[in-house]
Amino acid sequence: MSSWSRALDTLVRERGAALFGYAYVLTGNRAEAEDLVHDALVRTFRRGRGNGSIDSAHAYVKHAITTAFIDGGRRASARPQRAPGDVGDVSTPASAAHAPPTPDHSPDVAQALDLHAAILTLPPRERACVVLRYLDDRPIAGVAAELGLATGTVKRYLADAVAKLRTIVDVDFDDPTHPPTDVRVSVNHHSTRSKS
Amino acid sequence: MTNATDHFATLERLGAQQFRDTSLAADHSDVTRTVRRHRTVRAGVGTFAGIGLVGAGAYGLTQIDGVGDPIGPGATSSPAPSQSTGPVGEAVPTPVQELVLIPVGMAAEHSVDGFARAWGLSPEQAREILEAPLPAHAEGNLEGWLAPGRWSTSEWEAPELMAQAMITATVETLESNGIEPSRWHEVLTRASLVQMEARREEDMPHVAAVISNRLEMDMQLELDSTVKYASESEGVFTSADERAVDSPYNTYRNRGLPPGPISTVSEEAIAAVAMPLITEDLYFVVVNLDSGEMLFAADFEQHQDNVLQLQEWVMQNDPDLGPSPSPSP
Repeated sequence: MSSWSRALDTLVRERGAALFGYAYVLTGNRAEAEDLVHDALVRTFRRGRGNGSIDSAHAYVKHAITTAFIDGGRRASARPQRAPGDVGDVSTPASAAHAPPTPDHSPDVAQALDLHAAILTLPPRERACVVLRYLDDRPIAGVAAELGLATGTVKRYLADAVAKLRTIVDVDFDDPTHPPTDVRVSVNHHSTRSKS
Repeated sequence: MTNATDHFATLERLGAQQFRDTSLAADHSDVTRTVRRHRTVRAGVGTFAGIGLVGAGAYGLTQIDGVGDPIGPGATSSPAPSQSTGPVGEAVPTPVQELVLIPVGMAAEHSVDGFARAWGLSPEQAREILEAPLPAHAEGNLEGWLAPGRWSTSEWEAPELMAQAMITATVETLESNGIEPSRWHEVLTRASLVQMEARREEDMPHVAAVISNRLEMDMQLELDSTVKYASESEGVFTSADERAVDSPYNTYRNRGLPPGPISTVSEEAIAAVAMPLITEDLYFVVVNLDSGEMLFAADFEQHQDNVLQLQEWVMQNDPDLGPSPSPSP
């Protein structure tokens, strides 16, 4: 067994869950996340980039996940649509039917899931900017470097994304690059009983 | 309100806990096989991959990179760039998307996808259901008609009823702003331009007025937001190529309003179109990309001065932003 395959085994065993978790935050879909991680592992290790420390391999694979996610989003319209109800899809009632009964979510978890649903409405580049900025707590320049974009472009994506998210979710996006503006932050909750 | 970073950490942890149910976790031999195939092909040209295949020792090979600790028997791994740990034994809830979230400034196809997911429909079915309640004035075009906000599937017995409510809410907003049905389509179109061009709510009535004034004087609108709708370009500014895209929505090439709305619209944008600022201004430009501050002008010379301000801001704050804005409109 060669060293790269040992390195691959180790990475999957020790960091597979973390990498999958990241891909899952980006896609909200178990099967898509799995595909992203699988392809990212292949691309990283076939280029010989998995042979350094486990941290550098982790970083390479994570970067490959990000770029594949963004590229995949742009080609989504060309791909055949997945049928709703496929196992592993976070967003269909059918997947809930397959799941084991869950205890009541803590309020924090419920809010986190709310945020997840909200970012899944964002187009891929905006979503990637939000996740890199707030999950990894990266500075703007770091996000820009990771995505190969100008910092101004990243700021614009973040501003657009947060403006949209603020209308649909109650979460504090503390972003020091954007001083408070005159934007109203109320959330419209529509129901049959009352007009908001 | 709680910190976004905390929530994302929770989501990553929850996602990571589901890894054990994936086939990848159980068996990644497919990855290994695919990598090996590729490295075999490259071995012949004496690349780094080739060294591995002729059996260099594990420590020797991993020392070549020279970064951090090598992975080998007995080596301990250091903390991950983003470690997923969590309390032992925490249950893994399966998130179910029961909400249709419609943000402002969003193209309809995304809302169609969200609606489809929430109700377990195909995108085609969702689109049909969403288009059914459209008034005749919409001409079958969903863009701009879905009222932004949170819509929960638990509140409606059927997707058709939710779709109806989404469109009725928009009609109610139009009516409460005194807009007659014959003007609904046009007002939504204008409101979507205001929504996409104004960065701050306070500027919306002013932007609405500029659009109105230009149309009255038969000046082309030349709005970047219409180009971006037509060509899905990236970046803050548009290039000359993008502004030449052949689409009826491109207001650099076509006179008048685009054929229909270019995004979902907020109540504020509709109100701004219903009651625009009283002004003779014909131009606007954002001069600070951080705050969204805009400057308006009644004549082209003044506008050119304003555009210079933006160019200065870009040079000082973000020189590698890409092609600088053109002086027109």
